[in-house]
Amino acid sequence: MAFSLYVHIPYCLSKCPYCDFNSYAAAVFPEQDYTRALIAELRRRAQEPPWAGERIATIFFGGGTPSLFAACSIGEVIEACENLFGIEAGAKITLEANPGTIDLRKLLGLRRAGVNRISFGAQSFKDETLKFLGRIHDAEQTRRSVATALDVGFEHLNVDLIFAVPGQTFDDLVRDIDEAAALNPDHISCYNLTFEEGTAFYAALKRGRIRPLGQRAESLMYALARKRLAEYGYAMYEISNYARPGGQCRHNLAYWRAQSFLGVGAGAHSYARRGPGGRRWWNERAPTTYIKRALNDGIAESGGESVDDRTAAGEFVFLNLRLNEGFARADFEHRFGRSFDGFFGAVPARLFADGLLMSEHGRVRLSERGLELADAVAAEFV
Amino acid sequence: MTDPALLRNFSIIAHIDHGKSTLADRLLERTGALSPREFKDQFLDSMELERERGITIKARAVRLNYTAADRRTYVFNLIDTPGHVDFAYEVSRSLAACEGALLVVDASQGVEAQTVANAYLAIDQGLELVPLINKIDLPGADIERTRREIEEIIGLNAQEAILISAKLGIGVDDVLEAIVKRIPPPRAGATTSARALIFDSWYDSYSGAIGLVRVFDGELRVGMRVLLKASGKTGELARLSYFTPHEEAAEVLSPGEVGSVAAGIRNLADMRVGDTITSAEHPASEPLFSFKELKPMVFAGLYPIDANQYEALREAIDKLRLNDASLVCEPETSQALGFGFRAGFLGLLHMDIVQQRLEREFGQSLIITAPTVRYRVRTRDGQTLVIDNPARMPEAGNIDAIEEPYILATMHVPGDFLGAVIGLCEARRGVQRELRFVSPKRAILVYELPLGEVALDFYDRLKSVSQGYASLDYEFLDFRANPLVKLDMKLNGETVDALSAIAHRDKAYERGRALCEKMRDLIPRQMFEVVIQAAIGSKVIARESVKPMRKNVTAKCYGGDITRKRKLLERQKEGKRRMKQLGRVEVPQEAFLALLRVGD
Repeated sequence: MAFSLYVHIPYCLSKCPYCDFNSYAAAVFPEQDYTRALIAELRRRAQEPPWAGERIATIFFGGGTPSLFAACSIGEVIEACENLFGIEAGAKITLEANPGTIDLRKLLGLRRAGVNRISFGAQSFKDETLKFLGRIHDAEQTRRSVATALDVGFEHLNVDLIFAVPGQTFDDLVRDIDEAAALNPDHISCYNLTFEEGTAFYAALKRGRIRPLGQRAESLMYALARKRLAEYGYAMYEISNYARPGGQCRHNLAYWRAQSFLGVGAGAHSYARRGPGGRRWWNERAPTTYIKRALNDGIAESGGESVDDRTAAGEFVFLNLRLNEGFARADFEHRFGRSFDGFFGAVPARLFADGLLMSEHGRVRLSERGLELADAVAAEFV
Repeated sequence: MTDPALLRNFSIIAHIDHGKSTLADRLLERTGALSPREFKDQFLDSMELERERGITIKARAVRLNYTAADRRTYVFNLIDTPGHVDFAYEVSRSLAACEGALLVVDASQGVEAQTVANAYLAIDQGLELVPLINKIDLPGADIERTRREIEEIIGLNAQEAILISAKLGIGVDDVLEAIVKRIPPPRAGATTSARALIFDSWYDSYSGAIGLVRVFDGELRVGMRVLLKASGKTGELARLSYFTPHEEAAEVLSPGEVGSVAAGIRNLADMRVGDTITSAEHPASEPLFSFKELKPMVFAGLYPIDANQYEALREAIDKLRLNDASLVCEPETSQALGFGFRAGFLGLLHMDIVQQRLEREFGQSLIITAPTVRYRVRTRDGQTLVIDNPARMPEAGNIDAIEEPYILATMHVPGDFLGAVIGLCEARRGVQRELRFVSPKRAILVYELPLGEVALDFYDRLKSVSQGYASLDYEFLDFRANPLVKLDMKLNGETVDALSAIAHRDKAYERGRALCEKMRDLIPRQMFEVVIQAAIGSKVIARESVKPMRKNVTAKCYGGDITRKRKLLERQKEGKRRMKQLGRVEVPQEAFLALLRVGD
């Protein structure tokens, strides 16, 4: 079966204070070596099950800031994918771009290289908020970059927004959504800002230098975002993701549906499904170690775990529940050999009774209220 | 046998951190009891740790040989004492085994509370106190102020206080000489019939109950048949030993000597602190001291968080009781918590220790319910019931009167804090019996207090309003009828029997409100609203609610790092596992003790 490929590019011009992804601020970075390392890893994986002989359904260049790389480097990776695996016709090939690091030339190059979807880290259209978030671009650069991408002919575009930023008002959020929708992308992600351990924001929060908006405001903002985006025709299909028809991010859907995916690059995660469970592994996080090991023999794993049936069932539920459509009871039963209700004992009945889970047309999904408490619900299944 | 004139029995009285352990180490070192290699740690402390862990060999009394300036070799018995009101009786028995005590005061801190309380106890028992001013090497040392405090607060002549630095070993030789010169030797025995005081006891899985004794009259000899006066048990002395601190066997313990005895007595409850050991053949007619049976003062429910762990908890309690004869335990059931036990404790510290040991040594996850005292209830139909669990209180309509236990509390209070302490006693429904100044700066305050008002947090409050200086000793007085009511707590409309409490009618509203507020702070937000109510009978007197969780969702799913996401969820779930599910409400352990956290 065709699989999803994630390619991690870990470099950034500067580290945003809220970001806990595997990224490194660097003015210069070994682009050529890193690209060769990625291709070496792909070459190795192409000889191994379960990837050998399978085609690629989607490619996602994430980061870090993949738009820092030259279009030709990205092109080399895509070309290697085509040669080593083969890419399905109509596959979505996404690249994350920082609006401050992209221009007409690069967009043209990326398009020629085979990229057909750009995901812009806009975050906000208020310069003050962008500054607070440590972004290197302003709102005008975002507007220009997205418009240029449309001009160049990218039919699929995403704009990332962040809400519940300290100091942000409801009006600010509405304006951000209005501006994002005005650019006419087919996908908008709208993430609630979280304070992750190890980030500068987390440290500031602990020292009392910044204050989160609080559960109540965040909850209201979330409802507001959903409503506003729906008015522009963006339907929520995942907790933080909205799309117009045909605009859903197929790559991320593979994660949420607990399907296999291959991740290459520093710190990338992979999952090779086998039966109900499977195996997961992750690569060396430090780019230099990654490059050295990948160039050596194409393997840069630093850890892994096998996912047993029980764990896999829990993951299947909490991942699928992030999707608006939830999952089909039949799919669960098919994969795990028992009914959803039978597998988890008293838990589902209680969550249905509490109105957190809903059951309709043979599918199980979160209710409106369940959406807001998705983690608390999910914790019942792990 | 040691010539009594060459014996010195003493203990060290000090506030925590004032250098008791360091001084004990120095004494052990100077007398050659421990080789330098053994000196890794503070020896007495490491023993205490072992004791805490239930290891049977322990040295609450160490025998040291000291050759003094007069060239004679003396035998010292250094006796350790516990330090809390819950164990006041044990402390008093330990002190009764001594003729003197070293009073250690930190020159940089001055006289502190624990010192005062134990110093008074020692003075009351007629011990000779030798004041030592420690830590004179510290830059903050104020020797003159410390001297003044010893004179004013404790009432000792501090002009002859010995200046020491236990850490640097300064003045330790003077201390050893002072023990010889200032602490009197044991008095000659009054009768030839053997009498020895048990001042500590513990359980050894090999020998059964072991007593640590001080011989006053006659002698104890291996093979001798002995009688324990208070318990009435007899046995044969199978082993006598003393600690140097290593255990050494002895054939005989003669008057004034200190050592441990094994007499083939299986049950620790028959070898109680305060009892007198005498010869079974020629028993002494009188015990050394009148024996005071330790009665549990506070009662609480002990329940496993996971109902399947009931048997494991029962086994753990059984094992614990082998070593703790003052812990009383009976099975009981609760509607909310299922099968568990009702346990009686000497006080809150004792309860704390039991909880800690069950959790740490036996790996039990427990719910411990709010402690209560034992009430006497007279019913309309003429019965008298003893109630140690508020949930068992009969219907209000069937109660003629509820009587609560009163104690006579004696407090030593420095004058500066007298007002605050009196205020506290009055707030706790106390009746003043006596107020007497024993020196211009020190008063003895005697109050009759309802035990229920004292058992919870009185000691902590007393320490806090007196900055730690007031001491407390109490004895049971009588039962008195008062307008008491049963206060019920409800979670989402369901009464939780394990949360019920007994309160004075005038205080019930206030307490119900405070309890609701405390519970609101302790119960975490859940997926639905949790309503907390306090009620007397069917009448709700206070209400609070824990608002439902508003938002609990991770925005982003970390580019495929599902392992991490799952671990976060597992952590979230782990937190829930430590809570007790009551109906649909998850209640953390601490909430059951909310009563203790309700301040004045």
